[in-house]
This record gives sequence, C-alpha cells and structure tokens, in this order.
Amino acid sequence: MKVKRWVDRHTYHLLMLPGLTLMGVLILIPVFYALQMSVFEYSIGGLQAPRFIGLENYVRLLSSGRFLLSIVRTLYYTILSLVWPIIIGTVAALIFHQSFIGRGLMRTLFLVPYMATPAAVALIWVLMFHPELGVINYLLRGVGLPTPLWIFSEHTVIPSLSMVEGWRSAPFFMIIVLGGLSAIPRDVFEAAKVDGASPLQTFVHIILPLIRPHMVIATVLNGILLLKAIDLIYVMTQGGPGRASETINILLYLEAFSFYHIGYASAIAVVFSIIIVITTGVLMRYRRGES
Amino acid sequence: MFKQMLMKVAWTIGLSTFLFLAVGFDAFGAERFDWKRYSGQTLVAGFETLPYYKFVQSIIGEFENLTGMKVHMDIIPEQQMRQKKVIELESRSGSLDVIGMAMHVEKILIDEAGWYVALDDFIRNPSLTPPDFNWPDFYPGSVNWVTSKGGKIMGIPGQFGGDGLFYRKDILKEKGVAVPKTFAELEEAVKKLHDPPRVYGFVGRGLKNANIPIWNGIMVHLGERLQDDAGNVFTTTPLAIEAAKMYARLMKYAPPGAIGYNWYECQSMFMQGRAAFWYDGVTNNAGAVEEAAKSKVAGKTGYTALLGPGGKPMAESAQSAMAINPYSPKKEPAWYFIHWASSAPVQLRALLAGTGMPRKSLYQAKEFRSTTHMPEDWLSFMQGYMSGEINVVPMVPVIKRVSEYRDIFGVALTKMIEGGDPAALLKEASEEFAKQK
Repeated sequence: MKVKRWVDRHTYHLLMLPGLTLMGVLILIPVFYALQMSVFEYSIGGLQAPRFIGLENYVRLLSSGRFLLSIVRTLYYTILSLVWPIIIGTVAALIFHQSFIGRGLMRTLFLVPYMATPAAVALIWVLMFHPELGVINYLLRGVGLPTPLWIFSEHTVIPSLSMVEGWRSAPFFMIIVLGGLSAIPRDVFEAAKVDGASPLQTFVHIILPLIRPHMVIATVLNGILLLKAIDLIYVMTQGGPGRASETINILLYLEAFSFYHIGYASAIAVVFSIIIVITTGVLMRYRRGES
Repeated sequence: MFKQMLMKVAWTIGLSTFLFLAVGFDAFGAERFDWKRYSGQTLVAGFETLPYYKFVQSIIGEFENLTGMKVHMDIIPEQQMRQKKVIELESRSGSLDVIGMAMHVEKILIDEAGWYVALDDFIRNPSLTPPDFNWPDFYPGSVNWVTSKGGKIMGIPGQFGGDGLFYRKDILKEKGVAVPKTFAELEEAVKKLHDPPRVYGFVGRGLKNANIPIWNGIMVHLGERLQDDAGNVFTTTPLAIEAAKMYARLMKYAPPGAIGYNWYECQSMFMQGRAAFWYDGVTNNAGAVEEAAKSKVAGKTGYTALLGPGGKPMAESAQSAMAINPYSPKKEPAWYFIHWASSAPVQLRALLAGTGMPRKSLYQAKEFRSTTHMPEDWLSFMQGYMSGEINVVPMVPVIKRVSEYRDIFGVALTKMIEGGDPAALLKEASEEFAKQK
C-alpha cells in the first residue's frame, strides 16, 4: 500500500527517469569526460600516459592570441551571417504570403538550400567563388563590375562565408516568419487599407511589429546554430586563407584532430561551451523580454 | 625382360615425380598458391581518397572471386581518414582490418605508437605470399618510406607523389624561352611568360598547410636540409629564408586569390591553359593534365625535375602505403588483400590509369610502353625517379608534429605572399612552433 502511494506520488518523476538516464549517458558523461581531459596533458599516439597538469591548459588558452582572435572571428561570422536571413527570409516570407500561381512549387524550391547537404553546398560554392574560373566573377566581369576574391582573400573570406550561410539559413527564417504572417488576422490589413495606409506604411507600422516576436525567435535559434557552425567553413576554407576564417570550432577541430592535443582541445571545448551557454542565456532573456 | 621394362617405367615415373616436386614447385608455385584459404571471411579496409585506392575499389570483385572473401572499402577524403584512423588506433579498435597510411605525414607517429604489424615475416612466408609477389621489385625510395626506425616493414607502398615542374611547351617555344633548369631560372622564365589575365606566369599552392611542400622543395633545391638527425627542423637559416623569399616572389606571378589555392585549384588553372608553369606532383597529376577530354593543355605540357645541389635533378616525395591494423583479428586475410592489391598486375593496371606506382618493373613492361598515352618526358621523369638519377627527398620533414609544422609555417608563408617580411615571419613562426612543443 505504501509502495503504491509512493509510486502514485512520484509517477511524474518515474516517467522522466528513462529520458534523464539517456540524457545523462549521451550528454553528461561526455561533458564530464571533457572536463576531466581538460586538466590533463594528453596527446594521441604519445608515448607517455596522460599527465595531470591542473589548470595549465586554461592558462595557456586564455593567454593565446590565436584563441582570442578565434572568438572575435566567431562573433563576426555569427553576427554577419544573421543579417542575410533576416533580409532574405523576411522578403521571401512576404512574397510567399501572397497568393499567386505556382506558390507551392516556388516555396518548395526556396527550401532547397536548407535541405541540401552542407558539404555538397559548400563544394559548389567553392567552385562558384573561384576568382578566375568561377561563374560569379564570370558574370560580374561580363557586366563590367569589379571581381572580388571572395573566399580566396583574407579580407573578404568571412563576408563571403556569411553570404553562403545566410543563403542556407534564409529558408529556416522564412518558415518561422511565414508562420507569424499567417497568424495576423485579415481584418487588420483591411482596416489599414480603409485608413489609406500605403504598402510601406502597412509593413512598417502593422506587419513588422506583429511578426517581430517570430523574427526574434528565428534570429535567436539561428544565432545559437551559427556560433557552433563548422561544416561550411571547414569544407570551404579550412580556416584560411592564413587564419582569416579560423573560428573557435575550427581551432578546436585542428587542435583535437590534426595536432592530437586532446587535453588542450578539451579545454577549448569547455570554454567554448561556457561562451555558448552565456550567449544563449542572454539571447533567450532578450527573447522573453520581446514576447 | 618384362620385369626390367617395368622397373624402367617405375624409375621414370618416380624420377619425374621427384623432379616435378623439386623444380616444378617454384615454377608453378603461383598457380598452386592457396587463394581460397580464408574464403568466407569479410574484411573492412579504410583509405584516403587517392586514385590508386579508387582503382582497387573498382576491381575489388576480382579479389573477391579469387579468394572467396568479401571486402568493404571505405574511401574518404584524406584529412578525415587521417583523423578516423588515429582515433581507431588510439582506441585499439579492430573495426578496420586494412588501413591506408600517408607515410610522409604519419610515419613517425605510427612508428612511435607501434600502430603497425611488421610485414617482414608475412612477405617471407610462402604459404601467405605468392612467389611472384617479388618484394625487391619495389623502388628503394618507397621501401625506405615504409621502413620503421627498427628496420621493420610497416606497410606495402602504394601510390607515391613526386614534385616537379609542369611547363607549357607551346608558350615557351612561342616566346623563345628555354626550359628552366633551376628555381632561379624558373623565376626569370616566369617573368617573361607572365601575361595576365590570359596566362599567369606561375601557379602554386598558397593555402596554408598545402603550401609547405613548395617552400620545402625550394629549400632542398637551394641546398638546405629540412631537419637534422635528431628531428630538429631548419626554418630560420639563410637558405630557408631565401627559399621563402623566392616562393613569395614566384607567387606574385600567380593568379589573384592563389593565397587560397590548394593543389586542385592549381590543377584547374593549369589545365585551363591559364598558367605557364606549375610546381606540384608530376607523378600523379600528369595523368589528368594529359587527358584531352578535360584538359586544354594535353600534349602541350612538359615535365622536368629542377636541378638541386651538385647539379643533380631533384624531386620531393610523398608515399602512401597499405598496412594491417595491429588490433585486427584478421591479420592474415588482411595481408592477402594487401599483397593482391600491391601485386605487379594490379599496380600495372593502376599505372596505365595514370597513377605513379612504386614497382620498378612496371615501367619496362611491354604492356605499359605500348599502351601509355603519357609523353616521353613524363616517362623520363618516372624513370629517373625510379633509377636514382633524380635525387628524391621527403617533401616535408619526417617529424611527429608535421601537422603543426604545416599549419604554423603555412600561415607564415601565406602572410609572405601578401607582402610580409619572410625573415621576421619565419622567426615568429619558429618561436610559436617551439612554444607548442
């Protein structure tokens, strides 16, 4: 009887137990393992066993110009990559909110970049960005415009990568904003029309404030994903030219899997996780404020 | 009488049987080799994306029919494969039975970590190796790459890379410029043929990491060593600095954006006829350059090894190899796959497909001489490479931390192309490299 009462009282917790156990195995164990490794000097293929060195990896990391610069690049890349989807995604959502023949097909086609394999997309863009043989500069040259070096220059590599990232994530942004647009009652538009509002006025004073919470959600989610981005950058530039596109994740990858400094790479992973948690917290707080 | 005849017949049969067993065993050994010994077994082999492994994959059915074994070949890009195998080996996993090794990058790591099965006993064992395998047929330079510090064979050599100069014969002739023999002459010729944007004087790798073999190549041609016997690298010596300066000067005549070029961007530019000279792997890239359907410079390209110290032609080498995973439970079946894939008939077919192969006999084979479409100077390059006429040296230092070396000095080289001071950048990079030790 006692057992039954206990079970009844704790059903809620008992039902959560399998999920929490799975989460513990999949998330917490690797996290604790990374924390443990970060205080060791451990190199793959080394002749010596891992050696406890306390916080030495963290001290080295925080005094490394290479790491600090990678933080700056990560933020630069993230912020720049957020701008494109806001513009393209919102415009696309406004277009696809209208009724026209072939809307369904066009909307599906617009989703293709988001569904495509990142590595394949990246390789196609590498070919298109080639300063001499790529199609983009071929077209620009054809109309007499200057031909940038895109990902082949230290100065233009991050803006170029962010363009591709923006192109890839614009459909995601569009879907969320489209959801917001669909939720706006028809009579709001009709009232604006009766009051003689121009399309621009309708957009600025009516649509934009109403879809703003959706735009914030899309931006926050996209921002979190962008902070962790690695696939496009690795395939397209491997962090180059020089170290011009070496973000935190690229540096972490190089330290772990090219130089085999597992201890040091674990310290990067721990610090990077803290950065992501803090940034996510700030963004989520902002989102709550918005809603 | 009848008894005598019977005795004669019996003697004849007995003697013939004895002679057949004594002499004929070797002669027919290859046919009698028990290929079906491990029939029914399944192997997993992991390799980098190289033309040789792709070729072996394309004919793997022949091995499966011959042995009754099944082989799953995982071929993935080289950077990813390098990471995958290191993680597999560090975790003592036996999931891969055969592993492709990049000896020019991983030799010291594999040797020191003991991540190989010494193949010496396998090669000598006639029940595991067919008599026509012919180990001495492998080019000594390749054998050197796969030999451990302790003198053990760590893998069987596969595709190799040898750097040299690609040049446009037609443009040189048109402008009346002689084929350069040294890097100094190359620099002069590049200036004369530079006619952008139609044709750039030179194309070479500018991307960090990928650019190291060119700088190292110039260094050794100028007479500098890459390292001493203790593994200390030479990066700030006058000749190392001079090589870096020369590299940066040559890259001034490369297409805009060459700072981000790896070998395939260089190859595309050269094959499109947009560069007069290209310094890279002659042994492997020439096959694509001579493919008329894809290359605008097929039949118009010359190949040569530039002269190094003492006026001797010189080339920088890389070497891939097939090795047995020490944690695999199927070492002997894995060896079957390796000796088949590196046998002369298979390597000959790979060579005919345009990939540099390390068996000396292949280059004399009638089938090769009569069917190859490759030009005479490429054949001379290969012949010189194999015969020792060309001085073959490693393209990067043979050290454990070669990936860090390539990363740190690669970035310094990239900055030099953009106008940085070579001496200062090399000093800074050397300090960073020493600090990370």
